[in-house]
Amino acid sequence: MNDFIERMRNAFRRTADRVTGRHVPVVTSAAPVEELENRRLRTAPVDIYENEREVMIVADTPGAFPDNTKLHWDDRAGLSIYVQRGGEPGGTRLWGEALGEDWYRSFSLPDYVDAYEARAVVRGGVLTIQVPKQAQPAPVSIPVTAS
Amino acid sequence: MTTENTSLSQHEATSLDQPQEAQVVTVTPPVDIYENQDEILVVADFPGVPKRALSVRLDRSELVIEGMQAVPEGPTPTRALAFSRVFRVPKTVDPDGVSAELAHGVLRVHLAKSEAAKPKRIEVRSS
Repeated sequence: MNDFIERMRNAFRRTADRVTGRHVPVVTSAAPVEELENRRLRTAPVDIYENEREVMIVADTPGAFPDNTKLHWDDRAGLSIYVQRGGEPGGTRLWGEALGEDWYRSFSLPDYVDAYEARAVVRGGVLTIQVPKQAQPAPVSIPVTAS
Repeated sequence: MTTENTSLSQHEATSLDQPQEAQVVTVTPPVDIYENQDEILVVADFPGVPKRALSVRLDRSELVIEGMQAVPEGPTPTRALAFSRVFRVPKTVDPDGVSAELAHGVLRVHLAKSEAAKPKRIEVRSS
């Protein structure tokens, strides 16, 4: 019963995310590395949390919104974040601290999560990726018999 | 971090006017500055910071960008992030022509140049 409620809750969240235009799909293939060539990449700072249900990655990616954010998952290549921001505004650059234009980061994930069920939301330039843990088999009691 | 029956994503940041018993961490957001013939553009990264937590003002010849935001961390005391950047603005900026916008975690402050400071095209007439 709890699993059913959880599935319904997740379905509702995904629908709500799509309605508000914040949902970012996770593509289940390796990131096309050729896209990253000749791009000035910035490493997105991340926090990673874990509880008994999921692993959550929170990345600061200012300038990210659903249409310019790509998430790729592949069993061997892992999970990658790529945010292709627009070019610099016109004019002369007088001062620069935010070196690089696009955000990129990749991760390997532990075996006990189900990355195919990952969901991601971007809001206010913060990308949040939630990867649920796989259901663990119930502990089995092994009877000990006397010989 | 509260984990019991709680989705991790529910830990969202909220703003604080007067953080109580909070550890305040000062953050210097990275800034890029551009100039064209019409304006000076200040671009600063503020990921996850709501508009209400930011303050942008032109104080005499200084552009001040500051704000404060609380970051809940579960059972531990609330940590507050304080932002502050101050820039000296040239006299060519029109004080009435300053505007700011926050979108997707990026703050853009437009400092329009006064008409007197803009380059003028001089027509060459034939005699």
